Order: sequence, then C-alpha cells, then structure tokens
Amino acid sequence: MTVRGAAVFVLICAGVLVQGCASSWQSEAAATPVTYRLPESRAGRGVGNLKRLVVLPVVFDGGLVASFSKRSCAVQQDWVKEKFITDTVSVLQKKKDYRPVRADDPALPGGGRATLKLPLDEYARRLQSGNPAVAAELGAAYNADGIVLLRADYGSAIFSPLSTRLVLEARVLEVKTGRAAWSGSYWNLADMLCPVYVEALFAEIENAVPDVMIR
Amino acid sequence: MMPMVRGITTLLVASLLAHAHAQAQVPAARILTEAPAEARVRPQVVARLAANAGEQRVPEGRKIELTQREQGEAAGSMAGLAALGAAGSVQAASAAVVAAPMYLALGIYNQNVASRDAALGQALRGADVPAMMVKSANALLQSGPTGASSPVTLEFLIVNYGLRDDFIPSLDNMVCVAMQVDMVLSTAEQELYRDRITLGSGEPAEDVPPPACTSRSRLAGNNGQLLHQVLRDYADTFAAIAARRLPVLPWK
Repeated sequence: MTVRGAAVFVLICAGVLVQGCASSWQSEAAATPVTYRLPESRAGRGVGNLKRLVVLPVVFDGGLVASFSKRSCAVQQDWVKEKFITDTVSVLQKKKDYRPVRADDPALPGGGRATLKLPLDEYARRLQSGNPAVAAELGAAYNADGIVLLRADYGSAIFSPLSTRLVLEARVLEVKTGRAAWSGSYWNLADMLCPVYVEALFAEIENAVPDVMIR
Repeated sequence: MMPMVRGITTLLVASLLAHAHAQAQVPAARILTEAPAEARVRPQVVARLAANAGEQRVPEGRKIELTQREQGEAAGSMAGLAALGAAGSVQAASAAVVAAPMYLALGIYNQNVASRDAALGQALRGADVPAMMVKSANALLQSGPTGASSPVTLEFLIVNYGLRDDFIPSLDNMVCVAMQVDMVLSTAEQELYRDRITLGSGEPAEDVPPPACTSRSRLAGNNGQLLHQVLRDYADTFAAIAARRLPVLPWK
C-alpha cells in the first residue's frame, strides 16, 4: 500500500468513526395546538403545529462504563445534560421556529413549576408510558402545546463492546392527547470525546408554524 | 486591579458588539401604512418567475418578463440551477434564462444533487410555484370584486427557488429549501411598495421564519411530496408576510 493509499484508508476510517447516525419518526395523526388558533392551511399537519413546547430535564442513563479519559461522557454527566437541554432549546427556537421553554427555568414568570405537585423527573417518568392527564397538567402549567422528553444513553456500542457510544433521544408529546407526535434519536461513538450533537438529533423535525401566520 | 479593569472593558465591548450584531441581524420589516384611498381595495394578485439573464450580459437586477411558454422553461432552468449548483449554472444558462441573483445570494449549491437524485430535480421542475403564490394570497384576502378590474396589483416576482446545502456536524446530505421573492404593490400610475424577501438565506427579517431543512432523501421521497409541501408552506408564508407588511389591503 502506498503512502497515499494509507492516508486515504486512515481518512475513511476516521470518517466512519466521527459519522453519527440519526433517525426519526413522525406520527401520521394530525397534531392540534391548544394555545393558539391553527391557520386553516395547516390543519391535518403534524408536530410543527405544536408551536409552544416545554422541555423537561434530561434523563441520563450512564451504565457502568469504565473510562480513562477526562473528556469522556462518563465523567461529564452534568455537562452532557446541561448541553443537551440548552442546545435543544436553541436549535428548536432558532432553526425550527418553535417557542420552547425549559421546565426548570426559574426565570419563568408565574405558573410553571410553582403550580406542579411533583418533581419534574417524576413527570418525565410518568410521561414515558403516555399519560394524557399528566400531559394536560404540564401543558396548562407552562401554556404549552407540546412536551419534549430528552434521554441520553451512554454505554457500550453493540457492534464493538470495547467502544462506547452516546445515544441522544427526544420525543415530542402532544399536550391535547398525551400521545407522541415525533421522536428522534442520534448516536455517535464516544471514546475520544463526548459528541452531544443536538442539531443532528433534530435535523429532520419539521418547522413550526411561522409566527407571521399566527394571528 | 488591572485585570479587573481589562475584564470589565472586554465585557462592555463584547456586549456592545453583541448588541450591534443582534441589531444588524434582524432588521425591521418595512410596512406600508399609508396609501391612496383607491389603492385600499382588493388587488389583482399575480405571480410570475422573474429571470435575470446574468450569463447573457443583461445588467444585473433587470427583470425580464416572460411569456407563458418561457415561464415554463425558466422554471426548469431555475430549478436546475438550484439543484445543479455552480457547475450546473453554465448548462442552465444555455436554456435561455438564468436567475443570477439567487445564485449569488444563496451561496454554494451542492453540485451533485441533480445527477444523484433525479427525483428532486423533477419535483422542483414540476412545482407550479406562481400558482401556489396566487392561491395562498387570494385565500388570505377578503372576498369581493377582483380580477383584471381591480386598479391595484399585488405582484409576487419569484426571483428564484431551489435547494442549498445545510451544514450540520456529522450529518451528510442535508439541504434547505430557499426562495427569493420581490413583493410589489402598484397601481396603474405608481409603484406603492417593493421589497425583496429571501426565505432560506441572505438577510433575515423579523417576520421571515428560518428555512425548512431536512435530508435530501426525505425531501425527495414519494416523488418529492415533502418538497412540494414545503413550497406550498412557503407560498402561505409569503402571503402572510404580505398581509403583515401591507395592512392597507383588505385582508381577512
């Protein structure tokens, strides 16, 4: 193998390692907002109709993964959770035109967390199995059309037990019914660094109804 | 003491720069609040593809109004330009008309889209964007006498539309749908309003949403069903922007 051939091989391998894998699913059922009147032309459409979203704290499943790197996700759990939720709000707002708020934002005026009876983690747990009453309670507390559940899973890669990977998952639930309107996942190898690429996770979620169409 | 002063100075400069940047990034949209009484009626809505023959040395910015047959050709070549990218522009130019401003404004297009994915190019060429524009605007206007009898014309000149690459770390083949439209309100005597609105690139504005971006394969699936849906959404958005910027017209 020539030097050039070896270089190309190394580049291809590096490309495979840094290339993540994203997938998404969207419900075929129409999504209905509860905080504003939907423009006629958007009737029957999906997750984009849920303009106002409340984002619950990240659930982190770390597993027992030994790591010798200080940059590993295993020793940066708090950083992963904070970056995941911060970037989620930013991407949904700036690139996808939603109006997301963090459920744990202490700056939210009135309502919000103060009116809730349970810790936010408990709401996230109860919503995993679909619970219309809980969805309605959260929606009313935050004046939201949808709820975003975030989960990070850090563990061994199936195809290579010696490697670790970070999986980012998101689900958007409709407040009106409690059912899932959209879900997506993104994973990447996490041996050398901790790849919290939230933009890739939400790359295929449709845009929300533009502000200019809401009267 | 010095580090503290330096820190405060840096913070002040940074915040001033950030403020100036934010101000520059989102210019206020121009809104027409004054108009002659005879212009406050339901307008005749028209939409057409505007082409700038950049490759034919026509002065930049000059509009060429096309016949019906030529409009069909323009749609094909514009879609081809957007899909083919820089290399494709030369080929598209031979098809008679090329929309040069969009090529400049929207940056570098992917050069391989059309050849790799014929479905996308076909879906772009098959979309009747002017008809979508007219339908969306008429749906927002109050019902009443309209047509050629109206003394007012609301025109959507579609400078170009197509796809541009979207750069997301660790993902390939992501694209955004882009569209650039000149919105013109005029009577027989005078032009009352003209503004260029770009959805997908260029100068953002307070009432222009971010573009629809997704994977190329998803956009091309089912014979470009999603792409056509996005183009219809864009037509609705431009109509809503017209309703906001031209409150002198009788909107619903």
